[in-house]
Amino acid sequence: MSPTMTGLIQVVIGGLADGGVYALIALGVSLVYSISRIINLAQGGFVVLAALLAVSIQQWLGVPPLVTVVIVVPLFALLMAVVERLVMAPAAARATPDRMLLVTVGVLQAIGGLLLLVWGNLPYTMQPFSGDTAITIGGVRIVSQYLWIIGALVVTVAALWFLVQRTSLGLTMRATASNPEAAALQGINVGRIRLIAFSLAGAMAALAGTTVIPATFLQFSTVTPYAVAGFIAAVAGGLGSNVGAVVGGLVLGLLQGLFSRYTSGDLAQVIAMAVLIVLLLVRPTGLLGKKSEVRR
Amino acid sequence: MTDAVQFSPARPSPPRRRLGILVAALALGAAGCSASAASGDSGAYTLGLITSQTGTGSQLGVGELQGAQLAVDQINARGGVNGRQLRLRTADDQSNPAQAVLQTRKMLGSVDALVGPSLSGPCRAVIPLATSARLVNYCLSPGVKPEPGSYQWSASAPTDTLAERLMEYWKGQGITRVGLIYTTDASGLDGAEATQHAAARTGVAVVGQASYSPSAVSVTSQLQAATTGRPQALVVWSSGAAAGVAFKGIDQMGLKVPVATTDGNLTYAFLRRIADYTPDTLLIPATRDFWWQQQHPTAQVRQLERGYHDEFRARYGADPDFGPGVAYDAVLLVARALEEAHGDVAGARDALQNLRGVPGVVGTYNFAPDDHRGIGAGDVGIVRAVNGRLTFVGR
Repeated sequence: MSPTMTGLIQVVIGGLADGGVYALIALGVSLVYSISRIINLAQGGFVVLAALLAVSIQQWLGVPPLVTVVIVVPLFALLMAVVERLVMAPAAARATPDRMLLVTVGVLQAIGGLLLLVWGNLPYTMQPFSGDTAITIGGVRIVSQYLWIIGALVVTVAALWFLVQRTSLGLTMRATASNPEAAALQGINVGRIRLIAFSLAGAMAALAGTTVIPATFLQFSTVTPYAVAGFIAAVAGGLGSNVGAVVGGLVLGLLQGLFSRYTSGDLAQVIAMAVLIVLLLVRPTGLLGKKSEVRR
Repeated sequence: MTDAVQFSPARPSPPRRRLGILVAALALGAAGCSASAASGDSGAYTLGLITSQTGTGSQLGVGELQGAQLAVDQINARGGVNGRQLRLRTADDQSNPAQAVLQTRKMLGSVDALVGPSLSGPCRAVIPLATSARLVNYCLSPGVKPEPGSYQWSASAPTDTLAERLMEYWKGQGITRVGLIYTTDASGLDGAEATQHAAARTGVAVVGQASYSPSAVSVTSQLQAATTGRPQALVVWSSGAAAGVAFKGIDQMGLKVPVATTDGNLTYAFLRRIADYTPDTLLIPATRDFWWQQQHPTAQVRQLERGYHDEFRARYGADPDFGPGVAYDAVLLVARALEEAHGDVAGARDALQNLRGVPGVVGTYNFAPDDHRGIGAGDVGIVRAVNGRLTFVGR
């Protein structure tokens, strides 16, 4: 294989790994939005919080990095449920969905402040789940942690599909997502469904954070880029569409990777944003969104 | 926002102080006398120290406050400045230019000179205020280029000199092809430009380069771009988390080339944090405070360095790194200028820019009206980071 082609494939693999994390964030944003109509910008903040908590747990307990996933994921499912009960639900009872955006920005800022207070301003990382191993195929080096990220995304998508499409809880979730008022009139406890959606989003944030931290360095200032990337991916894919969120995340990661390879760092970000704007002009619903989401 | 740490005793309220200044100025019949003297504050000189105690710059700012306090205490232990005590009035700019301006405004009229801020952005933001007040302002970031004859100073070695030293060292090692990866913030762009110029001057080819956002969490693509020309070595001009991301990327891609980075990463806490991912050869251009023991300086320099390092270690329980050194020197130099100007605040500018051959811990300072940095290539060496520690490898 030519060095140019090897380099290109390497860039694509790196982009897909980044995109996998964006997709996990977007999936959480999209799920919460479909049930509650709240665009939760704080989702990216919870990813970094989970990542740094995983590092601390790993250091305190001396457990293998992979074990932190088992601890942090349920912990964040619970944490996000608490956030929903203490912050989101009371705020949503008083504010319109668009004003709830400001509430989630406030939560994002609060997470950034908490990270700075507790973990300071130094960057953190963790050993990869499978050690510092990499697979080399035809000159292309695939870092083992990238496979864990993609694996986490695949498992999440499969589990969510099964929950939504194959269980009675999923049926009530779909009913709530379709029309919350009608669902409430049918006797569905909409508040409980919303609590479950937030809880699932918390688990997704924890999964994203714990699988990405071994592949990079994160610190308090990383909350904003992840919040922005997750939001862009969710909107580009079509708010409320789980498949769209995954596609949006992967495409965003790929575009950022490719543009970063062939243009300057600043230009890559501008181009990625320009592509999003053009996409929304041509297709306001996003890649896989529904027209009703735009009208609403 | 109140001052983060207040070393000075309680001061009179602003209206009273302004009245005091006016009366004292009229009585003395002289403009530009010490602000502290004018306020009747027992004749002490007061330095305004603005550092980043919180936010992204606190990695440097916390050490800077320690270094500055150590210098003040040592000066006072030796009898002060012109027989007067030296005091610090400190403030935290939260790594934010707007806060730096706010804190500077609060200090104007009550300090004899300004030291800080820690970062280039806040430094640039306070320049107009310090200039209009005709107050010496010794920025602790190397990222500011002071105008000739201005009231602005900038600490440590210039980026051009750091990059040139690095390229000369590599050229001497037979390395003639380098890759470059840098962040898109002011520091990264400045470093990239300096590296390109230094490479051109020393006959080293930059065979690939790429930039990335300081908040990027992956740089696989950029490393691909920077290494397409098969460089013999790689320059990573970024600091903090961004540098950590690049080092991790280098490790993940299995790149086995010498790597050099900016002196912005010369903090032991950071070097320990990246220890597992430090490239086999990680070089950093550094000022004298990092390699004085290996280079047998003059007895005067040796005494100064030993006094600084030993006392810092005894007081704070850690080795001083980049932040403490620049702040320590800044306080020594500004105090010396105030001494020579006999407390004339505006005159301190002329006194400071005429200082020649003054040893500090960072280097030996030779200021001139068109050189408000005073540090030259002779004060820069190359150190290698291994397991969170630094070893001198050449100049």
